[in-house]
Amino acid sequence: MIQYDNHRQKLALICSGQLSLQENVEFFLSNIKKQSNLNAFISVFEEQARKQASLVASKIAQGNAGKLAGMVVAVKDVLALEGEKLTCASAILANFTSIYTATAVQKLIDEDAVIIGKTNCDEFAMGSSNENSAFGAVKNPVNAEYVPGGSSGGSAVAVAAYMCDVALGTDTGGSIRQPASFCGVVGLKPTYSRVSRYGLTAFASSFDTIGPFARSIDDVAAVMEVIAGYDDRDATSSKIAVENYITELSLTSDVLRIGVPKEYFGEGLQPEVRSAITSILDKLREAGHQIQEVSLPSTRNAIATYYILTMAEVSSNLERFDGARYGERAENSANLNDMYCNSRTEKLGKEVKRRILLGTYVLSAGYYDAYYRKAQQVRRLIKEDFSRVFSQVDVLVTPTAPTTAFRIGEKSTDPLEMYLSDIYTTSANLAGIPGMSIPVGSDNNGLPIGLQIMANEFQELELLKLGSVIEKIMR
Amino acid sequence: MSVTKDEAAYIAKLANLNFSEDELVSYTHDLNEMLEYVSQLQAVDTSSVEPLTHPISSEPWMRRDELRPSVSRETALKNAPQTDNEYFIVPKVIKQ
Repeated sequence: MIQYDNHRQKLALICSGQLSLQENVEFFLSNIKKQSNLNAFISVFEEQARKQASLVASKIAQGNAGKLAGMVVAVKDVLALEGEKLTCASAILANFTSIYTATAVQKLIDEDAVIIGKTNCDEFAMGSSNENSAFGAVKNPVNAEYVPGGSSGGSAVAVAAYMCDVALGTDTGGSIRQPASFCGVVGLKPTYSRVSRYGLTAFASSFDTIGPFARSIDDVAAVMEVIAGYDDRDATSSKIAVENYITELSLTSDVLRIGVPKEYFGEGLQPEVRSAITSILDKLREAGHQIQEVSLPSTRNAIATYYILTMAEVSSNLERFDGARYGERAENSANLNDMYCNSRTEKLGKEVKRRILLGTYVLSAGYYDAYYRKAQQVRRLIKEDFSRVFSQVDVLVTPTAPTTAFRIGEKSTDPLEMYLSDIYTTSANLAGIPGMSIPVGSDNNGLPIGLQIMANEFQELELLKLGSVIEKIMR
Repeated sequence: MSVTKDEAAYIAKLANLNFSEDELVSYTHDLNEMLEYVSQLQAVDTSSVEPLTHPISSEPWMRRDELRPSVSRETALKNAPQTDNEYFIVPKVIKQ
C-alpha cells in the first residue's frame, strides 16, 4: 500500500494524481486501529488528521504547500500541541491539556505536515524498554513478546509498523537511537541545542534533544532541515546556521574517515550484532572509505556519570509536579505539604521516584562534591575523548545497543541491568554530539540490529552522508 | 559507603515522597546498588579538571529583559486542580 520510499517520492505521487493524501491518511489510521495491541499511541487525532489532509491536498494542488506537505507525523507525548492532551505517559498528567505548541511541532505544522497523534513512551521519558508507562507497555512490532526499546518506543513502533511516515522522539541517553535499533528504523539524535526544546517536558535539561524516526535517511534529513535552528524561546538553542541537508546529501560522494572505537566492541556484545557491524565495516572499506581503530578510554565511566547527572537534573526538574498548579492532586490532604507529598506519591511511577530519590541524594548536603561535581568533571573527560578522536576521523561507527530487543519483563526487576543497556548511547548525550541508528539486518530470531554513527557537534551532515552510503549497501 | 533505611526515609522527605516500610526497603536496596556502581568514578583522577555544565562549544545566550506578552490568567488556570478563577486554591498553609 505504501508506494514510496521517502517524502520526495510521496509528494511527486500526490502531484501526479497517483496517490490520494486522504486515502494515505486513512491507511495509517486503519493500521493504528488494526495494531492497537502494540499500544503505540496515547492519543490519535482522527478527525483533525482527515481535515488537515484535505486542506493540505488542496494546497498541493494549488502549488502553495510547504516543504513537508502531506508528511504524516506522530509526536512523542512529551511534546506540547496546543489544545491536546500532554500526558508524558504519567498518571500525574493524565488530564493535562497543552496551552501552547512546542517549537519543533509547530515548525512541522507550518510546513504542512499532518499530525496523526501522540505516541506512548516511558513515563517522563525515563526508561529503556517502554515498560514504565502509566498507559501500559508498548510492544515490538516484529514480535509482540519483546520490548520496542525506550523511552521513545511508541514513536519507533509507529514508524516501523506503518502507522505514519515519520515520528518525533526525544533522546536524553539513547531514547531515540535504542528504540530505532530495536524496531528496525532510522533514528537521529541531534547535537544538543540544535533543535529548540521549547514545549518539551524537561527530563534532564543539559542532555535532552528532539529528533526524528523515519524509514529512510532522506526523510530524517528533510525533517531535520525543518525542525533544527535558533528559537528565541529556548536560550540554549544554537545560532549556528542549519545546513541544507537534502541538497548537500545529493551532491556528495566523499571518502569518509571512519573511526571504530574499540571500547564499543567488548564483552556483553551479542555475536550477531558484532558480525552485522563488522560486515558493514568491511563493505565500507571495499567501497574506499578509510577505517581505523580509535580509543575513547573514558567510555567505561559513561553510565555512572550519566546516571548521577541526569538523576540530579530529574530531582530538580520534577519538583514542579506537586498537584498545586496543574496535574493531578491527591484528595484529602491535611495541609499544603501533605498535598505535595500525597500527590507525588500517588501519581508518579516507580522508576520516576527511584530517579528522584537518587538525584536528591547526590545533590544533598555533604554529597554534592563527591557525586555531582565529580560526575561533571568526568563529563569533561568524556567530551575531551571525543574532541581528540574527531581531529582524526569524520565519524565513528559502533553498535547502537549491545543486544537486539529483549523480552518484556526480562530486565524490569533489575534497574541497574536496565541502565546498562544504554552503554553505547549515553556518551553522545554526555558530549552533546549527534548520533544516529540505522538498521543493518536482524538476528537469528528476526529481531532488528542497529548500527550507530556518531559525529562531532553540529556535524549532522556527516551522519546523514554515511547513513546514505549504508542505506544503499543494505538495499 | 552505604545508605541506611532511615537515611533513605530522610531523602524521601526532602523529595516530598512518602514510602511504605516495604517500599523503603526496596528503594534503599536500589539506592545502594546504584551508589556502589557509580563509586567507580572515585578512582578517576580529576584533580585538574574543570566541571562541564554545558556540553557544547556554542554558548547559551541571554535575552533582553523586556516585557513580552504572556499567557492570559484564564489560560494559565486551565489545568489547575482547584481555582476561584483568579488564584490557585491549595490546602491551608499557615497553622491556626
